[in-house]
Amino acid sequence: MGFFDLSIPYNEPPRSGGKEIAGGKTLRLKLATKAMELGYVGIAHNRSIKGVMSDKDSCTIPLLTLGSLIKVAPRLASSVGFHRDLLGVPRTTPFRQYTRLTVHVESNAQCQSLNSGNPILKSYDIIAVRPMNQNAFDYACEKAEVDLISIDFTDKMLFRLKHPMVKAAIQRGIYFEIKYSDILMDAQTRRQVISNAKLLVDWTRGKNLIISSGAPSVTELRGPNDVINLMFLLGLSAERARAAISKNCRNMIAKVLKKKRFHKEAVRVELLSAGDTFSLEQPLSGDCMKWDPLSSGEGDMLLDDLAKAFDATNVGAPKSSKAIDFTSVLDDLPKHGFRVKDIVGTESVTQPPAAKVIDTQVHSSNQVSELRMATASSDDNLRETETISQIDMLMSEDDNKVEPTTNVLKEEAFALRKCSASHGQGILVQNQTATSFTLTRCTKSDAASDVSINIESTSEGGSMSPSKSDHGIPQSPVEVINMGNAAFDEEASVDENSKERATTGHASNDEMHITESGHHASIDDEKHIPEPEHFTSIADEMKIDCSSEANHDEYMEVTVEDQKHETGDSKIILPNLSSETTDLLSESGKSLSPDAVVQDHDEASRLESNETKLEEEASVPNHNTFEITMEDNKVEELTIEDEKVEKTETEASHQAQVQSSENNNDTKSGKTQAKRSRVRLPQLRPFKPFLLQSRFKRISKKRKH
Amino acid sequence: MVGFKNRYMLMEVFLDPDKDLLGEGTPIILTQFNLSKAIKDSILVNFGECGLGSSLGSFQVKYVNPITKLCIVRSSREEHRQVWSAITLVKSIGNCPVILNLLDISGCIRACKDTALKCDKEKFEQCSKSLSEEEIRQMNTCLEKIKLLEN
Repeated sequence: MGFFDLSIPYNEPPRSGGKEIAGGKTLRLKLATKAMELGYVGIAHNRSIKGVMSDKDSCTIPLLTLGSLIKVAPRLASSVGFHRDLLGVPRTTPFRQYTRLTVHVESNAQCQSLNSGNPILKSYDIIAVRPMNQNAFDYACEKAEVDLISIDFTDKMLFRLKHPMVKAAIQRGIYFEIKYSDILMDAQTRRQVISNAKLLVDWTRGKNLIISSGAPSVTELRGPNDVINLMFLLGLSAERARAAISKNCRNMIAKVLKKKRFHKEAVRVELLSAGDTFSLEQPLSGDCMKWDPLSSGEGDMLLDDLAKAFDATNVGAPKSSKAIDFTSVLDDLPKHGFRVKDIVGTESVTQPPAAKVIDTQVHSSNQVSELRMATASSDDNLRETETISQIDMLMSEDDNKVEPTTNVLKEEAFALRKCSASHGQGILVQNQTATSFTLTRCTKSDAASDVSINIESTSEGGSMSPSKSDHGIPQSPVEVINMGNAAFDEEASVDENSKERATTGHASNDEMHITESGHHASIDDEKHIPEPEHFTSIADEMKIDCSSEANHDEYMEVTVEDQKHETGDSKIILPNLSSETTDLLSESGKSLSPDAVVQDHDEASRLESNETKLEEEASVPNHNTFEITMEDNKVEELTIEDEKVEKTETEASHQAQVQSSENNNDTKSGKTQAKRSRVRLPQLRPFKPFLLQSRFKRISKKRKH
Repeated sequence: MVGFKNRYMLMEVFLDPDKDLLGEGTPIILTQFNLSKAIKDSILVNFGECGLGSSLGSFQVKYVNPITKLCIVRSSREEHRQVWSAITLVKSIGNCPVILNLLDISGCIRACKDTALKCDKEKFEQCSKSLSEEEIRQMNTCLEKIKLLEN
């Protein structure tokens, strides 16, 4: 857990003077270098504004570059590494920089400007307010849209801290800040700060409290452990103080950046270069999972870069990842989506090793769009059903979290049998950089429809929707399994799959997002296009499921829901699924469930969609029998589904859904043709073979959507 | 049974951090004496006479390495938090502004010794390029001293 120092003073140079900048910059450099050396992983350049803000006050804080740091302290890299080891911070954590504005507020008029519509405020990462009187403080706690309330404790307090105000602010998610450099100043200041801040500490009990330095010079900086101990003087326990300097900072930054970069719950899409090749052996490169909830875009420095820069006397450019305009990506994708044969070639993996998470590679003949998958989401999928709200969580998830997830996913290899082209199946396989998927063959006879598997590694909902919409499967709702795991035989399933993909592909969060974002709806609507253009992270989910199911011996065959209106039960019948497919199914099922849910969100019932998805998914793994029930034990139940659906559904319910969905498929097939079919990704969870027709019927009747 | 417990704090000193961060040409030489004096002054100012009295019993600067700026300070377990806070609040040794940064804290001298050896070696690596012969010799004697540290 990294430590942050969110208050490095930045002095805006007067418009005329150039000299000041030099002096100020050196100071900032030194402070930043020292902070980095002491083990902090993030700093924020703090600029103060009094009075009225004007356009000229927009953020012009130049972030420090690697080169400048190296110039100040050439042997920084080794020292930083040394300290980080002692603190338990991983060496590879990038050093981040943020920009912060502190507004001194005195009058009501100034208070009013502290809203979210203020463009000047938007140009900074973190907004802090310093109230100068009681009114301002009350307003700041209750109404102002700021991130941080920073109170000057050094002198006699100009207002009183009232407990209900403090509580209100905490409930709104506003953080309070204490600067520890005030304690270091001199005896008199120390006295004041301790007595004033003690009250705040008592009332917040460390919750929503942030400690920063505000050091006017390098001598006032202290290491993280020392700061934690200093807080003991204020009455803050060690663990709370530690949280105040690490976890709370992290949470605040994640929240702030999320607000800044994304609108509501949209997810970010990144374009992968088409030149990347995937192979099953190589693990997914970290580049694929570039989701960085704490990165402000630029200004991140890596220790390796530091070392290299020092050695080579070259300045390493800070990493920055740019989000890709999703719409343009979508437009670029081929109309028919991606066919498996295009992507996979003749590869076929017989044994599904741990399902690999298809991160975000959508293979198309020409383009690869990478959807970021919140790996964390896949984790979540595995763990718990998540609601759409989790997407936010996902967003704010730590990189570390993401990484492990990816690893997990990577370990699970997808083995998708290649769908036989002869069946005219179009399978969308999204290849991850590391993995290639072969779609399993759908042997089901009724699985005539092509199943397009859209694997979207990224949880971007956006990707999902386009693909979905592209699906114009005239058939009954075939769930498109985006996940690479399953080979979808049926075209119809493609449509649904696209939906499902969206849902399944993404780790719960992603899918949730996708569904939530309504993209899925589009997928449903447009089943026409056989292959979804967009791959959802369903694949990811699928992978997750698959991986979990890897140990299943059963061969799960997912038959796409018959589009032909055949009796539902028969369709969903799971032929003997190979263990691989089972695994895949399980994985995908897990992941799919959320996807499925996502896709259907606009549909009447998520459950239905889930069910259909389940069916679809079952078919997708292109096994004749979708043994959903079989494997469920080991596989986490349709976590994805649940997630997507925003409901937490138990496995049983999923199964029921599957069953009912199967039934529904039959009934719905007619309907689906009429209107846009929902792409439902069938739960790829192994279900016990009790999906009998009678049961289906019973269940479906019971179900009311 | 050991009734009396101590805490051994391993710290590093950043001398004159505002100036050249390379640490070339140290303005003052770190000795056990001047470091101990600075810390005691800090305890006196912040915790008063009684604070100083209660922490003085077990307070000792056990080891100082002037080249790598590493030191080991011992204090009693009851007072170690206060002594630690006082150490953090030290702003200058003599005329030289300093930053005292705690690296490790342990309950027995042995564990502290091991960490100190490791840290010393690492810090030595970091600044070994600019050391003269004399200093290298001094360094080695200090390392020896660590090994001889036993309570």
